[in-house]
Formats: sequence, C-alpha cells, structure tokens
Amino acid sequence: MKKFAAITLTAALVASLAGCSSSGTPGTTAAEGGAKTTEAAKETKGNETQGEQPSGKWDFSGITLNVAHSTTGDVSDAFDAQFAAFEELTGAKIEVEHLSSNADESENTLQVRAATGNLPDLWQTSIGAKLQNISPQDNIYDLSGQEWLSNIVDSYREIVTDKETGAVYVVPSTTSNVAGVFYNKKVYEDMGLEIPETWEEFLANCEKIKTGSEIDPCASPYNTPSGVQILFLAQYYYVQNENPDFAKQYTAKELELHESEAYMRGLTKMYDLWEKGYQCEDPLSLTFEDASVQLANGEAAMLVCRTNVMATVEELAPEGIDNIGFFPLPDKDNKSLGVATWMPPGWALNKNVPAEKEECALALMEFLTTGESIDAYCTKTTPTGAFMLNGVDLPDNVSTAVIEAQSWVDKASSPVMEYFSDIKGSNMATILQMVGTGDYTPDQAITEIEQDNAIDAQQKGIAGW
Amino acid sequence: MNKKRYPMWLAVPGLLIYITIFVIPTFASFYFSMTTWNLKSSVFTGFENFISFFTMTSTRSALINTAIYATVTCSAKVILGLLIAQYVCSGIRTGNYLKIVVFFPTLLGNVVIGTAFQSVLDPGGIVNQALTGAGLPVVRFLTDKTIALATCCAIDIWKGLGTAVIIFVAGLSAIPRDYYEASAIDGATGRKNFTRITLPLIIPTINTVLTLSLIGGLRDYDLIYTLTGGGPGYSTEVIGSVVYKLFSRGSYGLATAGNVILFVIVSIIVFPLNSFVSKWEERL
Repeated sequence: MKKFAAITLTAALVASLAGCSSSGTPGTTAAEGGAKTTEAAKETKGNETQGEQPSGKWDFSGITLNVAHSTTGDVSDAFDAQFAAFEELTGAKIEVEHLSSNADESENTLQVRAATGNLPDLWQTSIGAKLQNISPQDNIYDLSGQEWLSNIVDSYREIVTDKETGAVYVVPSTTSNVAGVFYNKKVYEDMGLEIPETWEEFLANCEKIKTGSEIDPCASPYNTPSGVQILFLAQYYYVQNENPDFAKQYTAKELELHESEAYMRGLTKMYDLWEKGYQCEDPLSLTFEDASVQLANGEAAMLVCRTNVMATVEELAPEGIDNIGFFPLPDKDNKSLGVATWMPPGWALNKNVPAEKEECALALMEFLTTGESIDAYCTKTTPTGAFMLNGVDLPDNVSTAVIEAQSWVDKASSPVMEYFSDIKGSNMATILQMVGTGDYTPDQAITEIEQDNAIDAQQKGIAGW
Repeated sequence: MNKKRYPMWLAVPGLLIYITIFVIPTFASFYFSMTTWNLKSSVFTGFENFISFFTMTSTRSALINTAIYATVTCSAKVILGLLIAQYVCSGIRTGNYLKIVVFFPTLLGNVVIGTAFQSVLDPGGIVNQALTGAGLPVVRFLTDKTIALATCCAIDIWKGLGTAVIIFVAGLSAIPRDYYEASAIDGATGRKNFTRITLPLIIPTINTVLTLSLIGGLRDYDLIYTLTGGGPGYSTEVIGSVVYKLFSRGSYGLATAGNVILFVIVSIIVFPLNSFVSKWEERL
C-alpha cells in the first residue's frame, strides 16, 4: 500500500512539474484557454452576427490573450470594460494579470520576464526613456505600417517611436496627467485670495491661510514615494524652459544638476513649505487619499499633485469635486507659467506572440485606439486627462479642474524629465522626503541626488559616467 | 559492513538538485556582483560595485541600523524567550494556553503584520487614540526618526518571540527531572537551580535561538519595508531594503553585490559566535 502511495505521489509530482513548465509558454495556455472558452465564444458569436458593424472582419473565437497591467481602482475596472467589449465583439477571451501597482516593482517583474522569455501577450509599459529598459527591439512588436496608427496623436506617437528604425512600440492605455496646484475655491473665496502667479505670491497666500484660519495651507502627502516627488518633478517644465536640452545634456554628463537654477528651485520650494510651516503636522503620515479628501472638504487649501487626483476625489469625496480648481505651479515670474505632464503609459504587444494569436492581438491594439473602446472605458471612470487619441473627445462630465489643466497643456507644457532621461537613483524619494521634512537643505540634497544618480547611470552603463 | 550499503550513484539526483539550485546560483552571484548587469548581458567591472555600495549614504545608515536591529531583536528574543519559556514550564495551569498566545504572532506573515501595525500606530490609529484619551501626547511611532527603528525592533520581537519560546520549551522539557530532584534534596532553591542546572543544560538551545534570530535579524527587511519603507529619511534603512530598492531600480549588479556583502557579514558574525557559545558550553 505504501509503495502504491509513493508511486502515485511521484507520478502526481512529475505531472504537476510538467504542467508548470508548459504553462510558461504562451502557446499552451492559449490552447487550453481556447478549449475552455469555445462554448462561451460560440454563444457570443451567435447573438453577435447582426450587432457588429465596424469590425465585422474580426472573429477570434477560441483565442485567449494574456494581458498584464499594474493599474488599480476605477481605471482597472475601465480596462476590464474595454476588454469585455472586445470579447463581445470578437469572441476572443482576455485573461488579465495584475502586476504590482508600484511602478518600479512591476517594471522589474516585466524586465525579468523579458529576460526569461515569459512576457504576456500584451502588457502595460512606461514610455519614454524607461521603455529602453525592456529592450523594445527584441521584445516589443513593431506597429509601424499599421494603418490605424493615425488614431494616435502625433506628440504621443513621437515618444514611442524609435528614432533610428522608425519602429512604433505602444498605444496609449490611459489618460495623460497634468501636474500643478489644485486648490479649494471656497477657501480662496472666503479668504479673498488671488490666484498666485509667482512663488512669492504663492507663499504669501499660504501665510495668509496659516495666520487667518485653522486650514493647512498646502497638503503634502509624503507618505508614499510618488506623493513626495510630484512637486519636484513638476518643476521640470521650468527646467526645460531655462535649457531645452537639459535632459539630453545631463544624460551625456555635459552638465551638473546643481548648475541649473530652475532645478534647484524645485528643492527650494519643497524646503520653503516645510521651513515656513505650511504643511500639516506630520506629512510623512499623510496619504494621498487623505490629502485629496482634505482638499475637497476644505481642510487643506492647496495640494500639488496631478490631475488623477480628481479620480480619487470622485471616489472618496464626490460632493467636493466642484470646489476644486487648478493653477500651474508658480515659479519666479508670471510670464513663464506652464505645466509638466505625464504621458499615459501604453500597451505593448509581445514581439514573440504566437502566430495564431498575432492577428487577434493586433486587432485588440487597434480596438484600444477607437472611440468604441473609449466609450467602454468611460462607463467605469471619468477621465482625468487626455486620451492622446485623435477624434476622441472628453465626455461632458469632466471636472472643471481637469479642463483648466488641459487648457494649459496646449498653452505651455512639457513632459517630465523621465521621458527624456532614465537616470534616477534609487534614493530619490527618500532624499526628497528629507528635504520636505527639513532634514536636508536643498544644497545637501542636491549633492546626494547627484551621487545617487551617478551610481544609477554607471549601473545602466550610460556612456561618459 | 565493509561493503557499502548503497551505490554512490544514488546520490546523483540529490547532488544534481543541490548543485543546480544552490551551488551554481551562489557562484553566479559572486560573479555578477562584479559586473554591471541588465539580466541579458553583463560587463565585468571588478570591485567597483562594492566600492559604490559602500559610498552610498543609504548604505552607511543601513549598516549601522542592521547591526542595531539584529543585536536588539536577537538578544531580546533570547532573554525574554527564555524567561517566558521558564515561566510557561513552571507548572502553572495556563501554561499551554500561554504557549499558544505567545506563538500566535508567528503564524502571521511579515507583510500582514507590517500593514496592520502601520494603521494601528498611525497618528490617528487606535494606539494614539488611547494615548490622547489618557491625556498623553500623540506619538509618531513610525514617522519620528528618533523612535522609528525602536518601533520596528519592538514589533519584530513581538513577532519572533513565539518561535524562541517554543524552542526553549522543547529544550527545557528535555532536561531530566532527576537533576532537580537531586538538587532539592541538597537544598538548592529556584535561582541556584536555574544557574547551576537549567542554564548549563540549555546552552545548546540558546545557541540555536541565538543563531537563528541573529541571522533573521541581519537579513530582515520585509517587516521594516512594509512598516516604514526605510524611512523617515534613512532612519530604518537596513541592508535588505537597500538591496531591494536597487533591484527594483534595475541595478542588478550592484544589488547582487549588496547581497554578497550581506552574505559575508552574516558568515563573519554567525560562525565565530557559534563556536564561542559552544566553547562556553564546554567550560560550564
């Protein structure tokens, strides 16, 4: 009896091992998934024949695509709605895999999977300089030549195109983000404040709020790595205004960070807010969610963040949406005002996608750039920025703060530095946290940022470092 | 018995597994720690990674913090663990119940504990509500850099004490009752029993707990990382969290170098400590 049990166990073990090794290859999963879904697919196909007008060419029943992304919350639901619409349209099946919502972590996961040949069929990726980390020429399907690429606006297509080969790698997945100051209009009205156009005016407003009320002048959610970096990264608009080639020259080590006055002002601004006591008592405990709610309720007057804050407000304090307004992060003079933007991350298609799935995957990429899929997206969340697609208008219910922020994108804007240079040390968030809580002066911080970045550049093997 | 009972080739499968999952990765990591590496190609750079690692500001704090964290948690686990085990084994009626209570935190994952304590110790969390209710000021357990590391230590002790107690209980119950009976006849009392009988006989167990919790403390990062993320500033940065941050930034070569350094530190401390305790045991 014992022998029998041992043999059965061994057999089971071997079988499960074999299962493990094959599940890694996308081909097998597709076949398995396909077999499971045929029936469901047949059903959908049946009641679809009359409904599908623009894409009657698409019938992919029996095909399963694996999609991985690192988005959470409403936007993740919006993706699901898009995928459901595609499934209904084509009979294909989409399996979603959620990666870590920490950008560095999910990026790392994808890189490791790229190195071991385990990438999903489609995945969400950061774009700009970071796109290079995953060696797009080896791993990402070149979309150039697809006629539907004209759906994507030029400024986006530009940063996802390889300048040398002309290869186009991704399509936008979400909406763009605009960084600036979000303020509570009621507080501003009650206290009779004007919208500041210089940093001095901004500080003067803070002072009035501090002395004239119990309200925190500027909510600073330094609890997370992303919350602590926004103000500093948003300053990049003024940096590139001072020197349009800043990122390029820095990557080539032709200049030092501390030489740029505009760059230093980013640190000074954070330090000012701490030194003059315009933040809440313990910024390190303040989460982004709490800060958003405080802004909407008028417990805090201002918050330097990105337009995605409006999605958080919509979820947690919807009654406060109309109280919130937007103005650009002020700098030294009122003539050069502008905003920094984050381009939406994109969907990348696996270059080594199995032949039988290729057509379906391309169809999904095309579908994601159409108004039809954006409609599905908007059923789940109100967009907080531009989709970067031609012929797609923002719905009517977009908040006024987002509209105001978008109007600055056309007037004066620049994507943040990470789209032009990937050099960024592993301690950036910590260093900024220390500036924002008074442990470092801007001068101490810049020395350490430079050292930290140098190590990162050396590790990336960037020439000249 | 001259004839071997099993042929040597029976060791081959085990040896193969051992070599592929232990020996090769270990030596590979020694090699990659001396390169800049993007997972696909690597460039040999000699000892540059080790120099970079030690010049980083975060590492200097991390080395000190790791030393403090490992020493404090390990000694607390040994001392408190032994005392609690002694109490639990002293024949009190609630002994078994106490064992379970003390062991319970060990069942929870580090990340769960970290996340839970983050909200419990928040300035608006229940601990601070209790403090303000009692008329005391709010304590920023995790965001005040002077006490953040102490908070992490305390939570780790709370979590790891259970394992120590269980090992000590096993060690204590292995001591034959005869010794105590004999000493009772000779008129020895509680304290003498402890220093002359219990302590000498429990030293192998102390050695085990000491080694395990010291290694654990030196390598620990997940609890600290979920509690504070290494902050505020570098005040709770440990080698593990520095390595983690480097890995997630894609600096694989440098991160591997950090791991090799951690490996060397653990070996340098643990092996001599082990033989020191064994010698101490012989002397007693």
